[in-house]
Amino acid sequence: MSHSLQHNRRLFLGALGAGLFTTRGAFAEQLLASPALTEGPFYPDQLPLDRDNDLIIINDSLTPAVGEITHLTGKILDASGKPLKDALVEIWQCDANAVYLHTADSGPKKDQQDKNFQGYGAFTTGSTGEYRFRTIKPVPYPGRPSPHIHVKVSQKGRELVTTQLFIRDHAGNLQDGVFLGLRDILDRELVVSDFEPMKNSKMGELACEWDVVIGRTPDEREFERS
Amino acid sequence: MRRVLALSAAVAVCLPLLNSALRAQPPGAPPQGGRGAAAPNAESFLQRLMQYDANGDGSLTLDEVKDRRLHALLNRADANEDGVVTKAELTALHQKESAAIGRQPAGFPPPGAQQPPGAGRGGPPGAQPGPGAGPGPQRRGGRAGQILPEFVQDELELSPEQREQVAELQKEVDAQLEKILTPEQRALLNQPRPGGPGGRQRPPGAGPGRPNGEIREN
Repeated sequence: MSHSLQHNRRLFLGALGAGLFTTRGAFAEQLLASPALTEGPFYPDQLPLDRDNDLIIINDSLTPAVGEITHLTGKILDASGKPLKDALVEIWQCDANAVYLHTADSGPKKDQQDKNFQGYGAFTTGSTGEYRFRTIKPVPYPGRPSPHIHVKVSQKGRELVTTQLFIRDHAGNLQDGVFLGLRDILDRELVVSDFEPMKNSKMGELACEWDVVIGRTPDEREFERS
Repeated sequence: MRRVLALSAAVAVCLPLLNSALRAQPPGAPPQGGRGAAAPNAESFLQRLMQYDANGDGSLTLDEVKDRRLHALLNRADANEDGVVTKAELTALHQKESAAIGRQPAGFPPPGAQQPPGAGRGGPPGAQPGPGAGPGPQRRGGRAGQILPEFVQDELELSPEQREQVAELQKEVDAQLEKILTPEQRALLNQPRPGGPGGRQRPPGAGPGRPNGEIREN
């Protein structure tokens, strides 16, 4: 308890410090915090037995998941650019047939589901803050025109941010309620990334690099409003 | 009296900070959903970016902006491709991209555009939403009398069943409303509102201000 209080106090002091010095150039090193977005209803209600960072192959199966294989990599950083060690990065997304690994979704869509897609994966960062997944390029979901991957980052059991990753310039983005819920085009920039052909991949695999920045200082706009 | 004022000012400054610091959410993140929040104007957009102006010359270079996630945006903004992004270029980009958003009726894709086919390689036809999964008869933008505009349904990630139920409820509401309103009133209600998305033109050179794409609350 005292630990968390102290932590909060530190956060508060940090917040105060940051808020008071908003002069131009003072934050040349500062990274913008990844905006939080809804977790949605389909964080797996039953986590799969295989929770590794390869969502394409379940256990030792020989049949890979359907979809465009994507190597998703990036770093988990704090606002000063420092990598977060021991951060648990969880991702979940619907399979190529638009079915989530959640009984409320995969139940009614049992026949549609790609049983070879893991649907969920987890990775714990090392000292570099880097994470790595092998998954599929996200696809639209009924009611969600924007293909997306759900991402949750936590550390020592404390949830730091839950957000979503979108495909840059995908036509569905500007029709997607969650994406449009981000009012500032700057915030939209922080949740999109390119899915591009991977260098030296003979199988047409894609690569996507995307950093998540955990905010530690209060939103400056909030400060201005006070 | 002065002390009281100073104190309350201090409290006013600190409370939001404290609030932010204690939230479970990372404080730097904008409010979830953000649907209720006003669209930030070009000024706040500029301000957030100009914190990277290390040499204080009023423009940005890729070197100055350490957040590499913003480089794509800077490159888009650099209209004359001289490697220096000026405030004017940023303002123009903000106006352009916010306006593009404003023209899109939020959450209402043109018919047929909602579900791009071919979910990944070899996605079977099953990837298409079933008949019940679609948004029912209401495809138009959040018109008056609509209970849950489609983008709200999207945001809530309603299940196909729930969508059907909402559509049913909407039918009832529409029928009732039909009885209450005169034909003239109905026509008036369905008219595009002045100042709605796309209906407003900014005079050229209007400078930074509220973006054209000020998103209406449906």
